[in-house]
Amino acid sequence: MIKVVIYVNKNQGIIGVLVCLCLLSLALTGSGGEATPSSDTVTIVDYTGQSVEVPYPVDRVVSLSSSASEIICALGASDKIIGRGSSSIFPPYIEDVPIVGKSSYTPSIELIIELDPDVLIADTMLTGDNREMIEAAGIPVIEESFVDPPRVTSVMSNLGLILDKEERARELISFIDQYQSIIEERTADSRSEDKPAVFLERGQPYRTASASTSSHNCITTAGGINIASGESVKYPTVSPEWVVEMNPEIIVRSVWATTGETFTREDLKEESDELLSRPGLSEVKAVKDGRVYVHSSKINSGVRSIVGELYFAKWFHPAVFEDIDPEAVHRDLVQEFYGLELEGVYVYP
Amino acid sequence: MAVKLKVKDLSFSYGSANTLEDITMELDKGEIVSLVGPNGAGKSTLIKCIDRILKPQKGTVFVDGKEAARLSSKDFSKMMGYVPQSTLEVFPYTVFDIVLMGRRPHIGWRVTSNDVKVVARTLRFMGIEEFASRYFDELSGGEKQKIAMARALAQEPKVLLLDEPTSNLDIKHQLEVMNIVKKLVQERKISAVMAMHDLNLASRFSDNMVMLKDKGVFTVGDPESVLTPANIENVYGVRAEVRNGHMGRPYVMPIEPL
Amino acid sequence: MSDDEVFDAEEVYARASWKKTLFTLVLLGSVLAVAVFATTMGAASLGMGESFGAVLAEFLPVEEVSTFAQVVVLQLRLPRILMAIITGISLGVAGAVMQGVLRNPLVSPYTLGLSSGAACGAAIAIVLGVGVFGTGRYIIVINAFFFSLLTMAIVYGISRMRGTSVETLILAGVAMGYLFSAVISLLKYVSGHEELREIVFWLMGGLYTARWENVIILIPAVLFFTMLLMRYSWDLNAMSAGEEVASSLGINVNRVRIICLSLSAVLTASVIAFTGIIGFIGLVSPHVCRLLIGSDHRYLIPCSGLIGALVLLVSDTACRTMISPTEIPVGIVTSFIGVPFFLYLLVSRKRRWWQ
Repeated sequence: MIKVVIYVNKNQGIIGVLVCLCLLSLALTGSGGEATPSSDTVTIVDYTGQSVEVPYPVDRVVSLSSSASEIICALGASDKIIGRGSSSIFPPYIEDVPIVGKSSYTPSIELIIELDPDVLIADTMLTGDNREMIEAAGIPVIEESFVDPPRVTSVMSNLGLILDKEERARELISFIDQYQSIIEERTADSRSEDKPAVFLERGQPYRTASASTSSHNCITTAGGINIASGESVKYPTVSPEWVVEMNPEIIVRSVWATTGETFTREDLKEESDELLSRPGLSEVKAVKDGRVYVHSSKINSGVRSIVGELYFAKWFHPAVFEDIDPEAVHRDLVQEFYGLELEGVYVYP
Repeated sequence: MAVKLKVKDLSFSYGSANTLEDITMELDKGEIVSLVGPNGAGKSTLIKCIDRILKPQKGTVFVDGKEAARLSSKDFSKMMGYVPQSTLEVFPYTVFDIVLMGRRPHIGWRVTSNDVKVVARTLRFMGIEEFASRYFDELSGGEKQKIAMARALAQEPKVLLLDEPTSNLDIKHQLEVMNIVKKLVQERKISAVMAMHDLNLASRFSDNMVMLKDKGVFTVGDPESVLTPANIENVYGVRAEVRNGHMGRPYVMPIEPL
Repeated sequence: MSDDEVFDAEEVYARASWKKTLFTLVLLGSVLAVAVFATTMGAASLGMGESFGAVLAEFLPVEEVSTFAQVVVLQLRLPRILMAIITGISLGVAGAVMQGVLRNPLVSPYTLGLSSGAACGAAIAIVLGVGVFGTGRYIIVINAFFFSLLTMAIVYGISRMRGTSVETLILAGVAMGYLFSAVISLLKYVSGHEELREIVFWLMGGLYTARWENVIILIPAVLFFTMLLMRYSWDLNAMSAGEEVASSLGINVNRVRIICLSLSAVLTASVIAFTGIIGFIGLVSPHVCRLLIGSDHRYLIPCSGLIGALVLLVSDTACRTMISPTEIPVGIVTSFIGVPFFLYLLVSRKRRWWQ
């Protein structure tokens, strides 16, 4: 097997040479790209459809994805993470783990090869080139998507499998599933005219999300109708006057949280006040009825996205979900799976 | 005749090197004076110092008996017109607009009918009225030079300063430009100071000449007394013959460098 | 010389002036017409009658208008249309003055680093949450404004060290622009997901932040600074013939230069602080005008402003309506509409003064 690798990027030249040497040594020892299967390995299929063979049980993990890191920690395997992407900031104790890149898009190949983990877990922002390079260094790569809830469930069981934490994974999945089923059951029989029209805003004023986004899925699952579902742009900025015309019954604003710090009630109130002060919105039903909600994006991704779901469902159908306390669920979740007390404010009002 | 322009003990330097030292000269009404001298003798610098474009470190300039430095820049620019060696317009202006700029010292915001008349008269005087609505960049070098002169004339100055007005022109345009200067000085009773490269044109059209050498005035006088083989040898380092040219003016024939 | 010949030249001049005045009036009319048309355009399905009715009802007790129409037209469309007009005016005027004062056709608020400076100020506010005057709602706006002015001061200061040559000033501006871009790139690189999006949004520029309370302040400010700059029209005309000629025409070149540059910097900074970077207009509006009516700054300054207003208003209306309700960033539309028009003028005119 002869492979010629030409690296244009100057900084990657050394890595290029290293990778070439690795390839060469692999070719010489005859092991090539395919290792012989043995009882000490396990094979899973990742999001891209590739079969990935990893040692069993995996002992040293690099996670470039914050969602993957959250799941691994929830499985009680935080000690197995030896490198993380800098966006992995939950649970807080993960911040002691060394950083090996910013995100799946910008991994530090050198650091990763130096750490030589049993497996690298990334999300779909990982480029093909980078994946090839890491794999060429003999590190199996699992590329996953964390957008769709069913997929997240299977990621949880996959990770449980390779980390030998299957029991814990089942507990996590059933914790999430019980609330997911509640939402599904209770919203299933609500007729479409009972479903409120929802305008969801992400970060920038009037930036929303159309169908095929996780935000849209979240609204739909919680029994709402996303007024921007038909837009052709994935995350379009829409005209304010259109929002006024659509007259949504509910406005939800996601405030992006990028650091480990949590929001205070004042932070979220400020966001809410800004939205309410915008010209024209005073005529919108959601504003008139006082159904404008602001929440932190932290309850919208990773393991905690079930909490966001519950809040949405309760906002959209307060009577149906009267008995559900999303905050209590949130508290249980972080306590049970991370051993943490719930801190900070995540929704307003 | 009244003294129109007087330069007294003028010194100027760029940085540390002196380029002009204690220059003194006088100019009468209706007179053309040429500044001659080799490259770097300070001809253009002197012109710019007289026009307050450069600020001399020492010395005084009097125009019409008034001390130039004490006049406001607007009043001063009504007395002194300046024609640069070459004019480059980056943006498109019509000839009329360029000449109208010469009225800048006289107008506020509005252009009066008198301003327009002055510009029209000047264009006609220069024989370039047919170019009035043409754009400057469409014209030839000689025409451009005339327009630059027209702009200075529109200022209605008492003294006209010309920095090598013929340096980029063919001989026909050289003569045309010089004839205009001469006509101007005679008809309007103004005075002109020209930095000149061409000794023979200077000889032919000047009443007096100032010969500069090594930052200072070497000699002053009418062309006959200034343009002698000895002076030319001394100032330019060139052996030359001086003959009797057109209308008895001296004609310089350079022979060889020394 | 005979009197009728003098009279002739006067008439030629009068005709040329009238043509330019007419052109200015036509531009003004076009801006108003497009503005009226734009009030009827938008994502919300309002008829023409309803849109006009909403505006009229504000002044005359004529007809019953739905609250919806009133909200959409009066609170959303009108401030945005006015914002487009004043932003266009500011950028067009500042571009014309900067090009004139520096005698360089490639100068614009963008090339002098003002936009990058503003962007850098905004980026610092977005990412670090640090403002010149603490924190709060207008932190981005205020930071952008001061960084923009700071850039002008630095650029001018550098050029002063080298005897205020125009070339030094432009190169210093370009260099500062690169420096600020590097800072922005750094902030973009280290910042998180959503902040990144906010910076990118700011860099693309847009008029969606238009509010009456901002427009009300900006209109008089922009008109005031434009008038002030127009007072220097004659000086700018003279300066285009070179510093020496200008100074022999009684102009204090350095003084005019610093006044004009500062005023245009304030003009630019005050609008881009609200809108983000809107390129192209400041550079191209003056050129379009020069191609059409020549360079006399008495007409060039107002016309360049009006062309800027027209281009930005048309672009913004297009960006609001093309795939409504989704809005396209205005910078993209400005270039799509403006560049072909400009290139057409460029090749269809014989004059090549920019060489």
